[in-house]
Amino acid sequence: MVRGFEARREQLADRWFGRGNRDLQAGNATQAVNEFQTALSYSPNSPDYRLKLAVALMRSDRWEEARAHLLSLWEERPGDGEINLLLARVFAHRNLVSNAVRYYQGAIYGVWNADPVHNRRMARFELANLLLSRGQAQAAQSELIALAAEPPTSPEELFQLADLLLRAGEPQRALDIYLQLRRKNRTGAADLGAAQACYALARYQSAFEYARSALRADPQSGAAQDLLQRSEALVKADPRATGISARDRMLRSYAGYKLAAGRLQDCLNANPSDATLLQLQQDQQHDFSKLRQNSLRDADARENVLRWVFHVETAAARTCGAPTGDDALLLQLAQAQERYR
Amino acid sequence: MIEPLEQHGKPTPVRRKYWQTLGSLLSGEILTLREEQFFLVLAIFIGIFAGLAVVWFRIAIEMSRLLLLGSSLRPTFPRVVIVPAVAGLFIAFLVIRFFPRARGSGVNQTKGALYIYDGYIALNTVIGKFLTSALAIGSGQSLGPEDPSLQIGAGMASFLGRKLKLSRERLRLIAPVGAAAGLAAAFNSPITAVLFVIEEVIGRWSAGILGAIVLSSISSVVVERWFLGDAPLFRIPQYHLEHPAELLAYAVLGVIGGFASLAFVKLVGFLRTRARQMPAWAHYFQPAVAGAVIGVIGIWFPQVMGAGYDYMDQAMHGQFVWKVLLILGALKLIATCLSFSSGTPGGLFAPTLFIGAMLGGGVGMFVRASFPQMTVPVGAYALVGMGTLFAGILRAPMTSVFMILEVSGNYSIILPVIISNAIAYFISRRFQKTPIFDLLSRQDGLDLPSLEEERELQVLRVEDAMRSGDGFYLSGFDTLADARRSLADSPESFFLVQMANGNWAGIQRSEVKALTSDDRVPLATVVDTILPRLHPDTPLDYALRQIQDWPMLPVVHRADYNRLLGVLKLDDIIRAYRQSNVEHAETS
Repeated sequence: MVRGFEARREQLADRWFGRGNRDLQAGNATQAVNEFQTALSYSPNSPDYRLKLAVALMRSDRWEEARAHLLSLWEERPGDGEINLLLARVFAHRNLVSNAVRYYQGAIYGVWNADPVHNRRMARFELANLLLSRGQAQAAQSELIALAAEPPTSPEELFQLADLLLRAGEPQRALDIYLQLRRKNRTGAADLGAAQACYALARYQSAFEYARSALRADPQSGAAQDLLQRSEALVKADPRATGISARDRMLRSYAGYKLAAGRLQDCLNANPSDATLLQLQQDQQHDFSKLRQNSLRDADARENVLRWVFHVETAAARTCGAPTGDDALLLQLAQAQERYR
Repeated sequence: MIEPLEQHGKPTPVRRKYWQTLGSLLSGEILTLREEQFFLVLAIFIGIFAGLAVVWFRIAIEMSRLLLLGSSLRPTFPRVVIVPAVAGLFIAFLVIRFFPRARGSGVNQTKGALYIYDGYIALNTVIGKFLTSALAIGSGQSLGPEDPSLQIGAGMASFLGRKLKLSRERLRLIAPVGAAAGLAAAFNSPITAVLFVIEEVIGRWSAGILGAIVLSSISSVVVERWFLGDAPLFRIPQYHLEHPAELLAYAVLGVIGGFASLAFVKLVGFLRTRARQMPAWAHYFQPAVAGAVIGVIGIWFPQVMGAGYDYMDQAMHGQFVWKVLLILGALKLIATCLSFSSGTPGGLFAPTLFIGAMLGGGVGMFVRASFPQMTVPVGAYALVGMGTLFAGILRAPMTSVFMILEVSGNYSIILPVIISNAIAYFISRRFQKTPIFDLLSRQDGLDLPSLEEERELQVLRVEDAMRSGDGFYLSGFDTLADARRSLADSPESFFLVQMANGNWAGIQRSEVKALTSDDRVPLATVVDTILPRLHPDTPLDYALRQIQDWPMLPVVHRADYNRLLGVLKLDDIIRAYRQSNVEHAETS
């Protein structure tokens, strides 16, 4: 009779668990919670039921209750990947980043019963996303580099990886993946990604070309349009751009000089005692007092001027705030030169 | 050489000796067990049978619930109202007509067997308790299975003891042995069961009964876990004291729990009295009315129906907001008072723990919401709350502390438990002098001893009664002449005589006068009766047994028997008891 009683309880537990699963898949998480609780009343020790109950609670926005269940499960099975992943999500939701990171690590290095490679990869993706969203780009980089070392095979995951690498400040790795995606299947998304990566790498000409290609694939793409315009402006303003004539190089350099001189004067008027700006003014008076446009045909002279121009824009941005218009373009060119010198 | 069993067709001496030995074995001459040892062995079997009975009892409760209310934790309307009401009618009929002694929780009935009925619990009562309690709890009445299990175990033990024709003394003690077994199996906690039976049923510790109770509890739990698994009644979350300020919150829980306990006991006392005062025909409907009211509550809060262990588990895992927890605690309190006062058979353990879990969880959730910087483990508050209400309502403080330790397996929780339990017990004791079990027994017309009062009675010792020994003793080395001179200065009629090796003798004045020996002989040579010695910390009860017909006894130092600290007379003992009674009456 005892065996019959136990069998009946198991049967009831299975039945209620099945109902709960159906309701959970149908999006009725609240009802699923009640059903999983009923299943647990007949089979209180079942970790699967408790896990599913925790999932249903999370989907019902009952995070604290889910946390309590998951913590008690974790105490029994601290190495279980799924439990660690769910706990990480709970703590991420509560903005407890260090706890979330700890449990994401547990999910990445934990035991998974089914498809461990995929699940660990997803855990790493989520962790990287979390770190980036909290401004911890450096920590995110190490996770993304680990992902890139064993890259996923599906295009969706490759795109996701490349996007995250770009956000994490690894544009070269991102570019490699975008180019790989272009080779496999030339899409507007891959072109746009490549354009963004090239732009981050200060390769404005390449960025312009990829953005144009992305716009051709998707004429409605606002991001492609914006990137196209910005990269085009930079290409046109860059005195060091490849493929332009010596005259254009000279004209651009002189235009940049005039712009920077004006910026310097305006900034000095507002901050007359700034030592850096005063020094730059002295340098201008000393080195460029007799500068003419034609002087800039000479490459060395041009480089001297451009160095001075980039110093002025950088110092003025620090002292007088972010520039606008063409000054902003010059500043961006100066920063790109600094980054990729 | 091995001697043959037969020679020339006749049994040899070896064979004759073999049969003699076997005969002795069968007649019990060689393997005779003393009754104490037999009692211990019997305790194991009682535990096994009680464990089996509790397994069947739990199955019966579960099957009743499935049959009557369905498998969902939220029974539908109108089933949720009709079932408890109709079942209540049926239960009342069974109890009143066939099983009148099945009424109540079972604890007082077991105490009654011990103190009044020489250990007798009728088998009819056991069967009635089993059936009616299973039906009551399964149909949703707000009662628990532990107390009925206690009575079922006690009843089975009583039945076994009668069949085995135990002595009257052993038969009286066998009921608590079975009670502990039944409670241990029901609660899956042997230590809690042992402590509760000793604290609330027997009221004393003695090696013989303690051994039997422990053996029966362990064997019943083994049987119960064999059949139903070793899953705990509820899963306890891990607990660590994060900040000492948390102890304040537990103190607040103790205060709340104390007043909640008070409300519970007062309400039960009030309702039960009113219910019993109603005409006899009304008694048939009281369980039905209670069931209907609980069913109506159950439409919105099905958690208050039945024992409620699932919901205690949920409370420990923070599954309710604090307002809901407090509401559930209050509703369960009302529902249990209704069920119990209506005369429905069933226990108070589980509802007490439920109310405590809800109140504790509510306090914990409130503290967490109010002080987010404190990482408050709500489950710990629920757990401590259970112990708090147990201490406040059932007034078993030691059991309440060890129960929490046993179910949680976590000793770091002992400090909050002690603080909260002590406060609740103090409040309950302060405003409700009579504990609930004593209150119920007096309402039933039974004058059972109050074990709480016995615990708190001051133990009188010899030092509380003795008087100075000056003028009452003579040295054994004194001569008869010296002794007679000493006697002339004293009005006493009896004297102690200090002998060698720390012994003390006694001699009457008249005996000294009547002695015709040489005056120069030492007194020690003419006295021969050695008196029993007492010590200041000796219980006065023991001294009373020792004093017998002696006019007085010596009170000596434990490390130096020659050092007389005082003397004790029978008058001194009686005076001390009288004084203690006066003081006790003044303070109570």
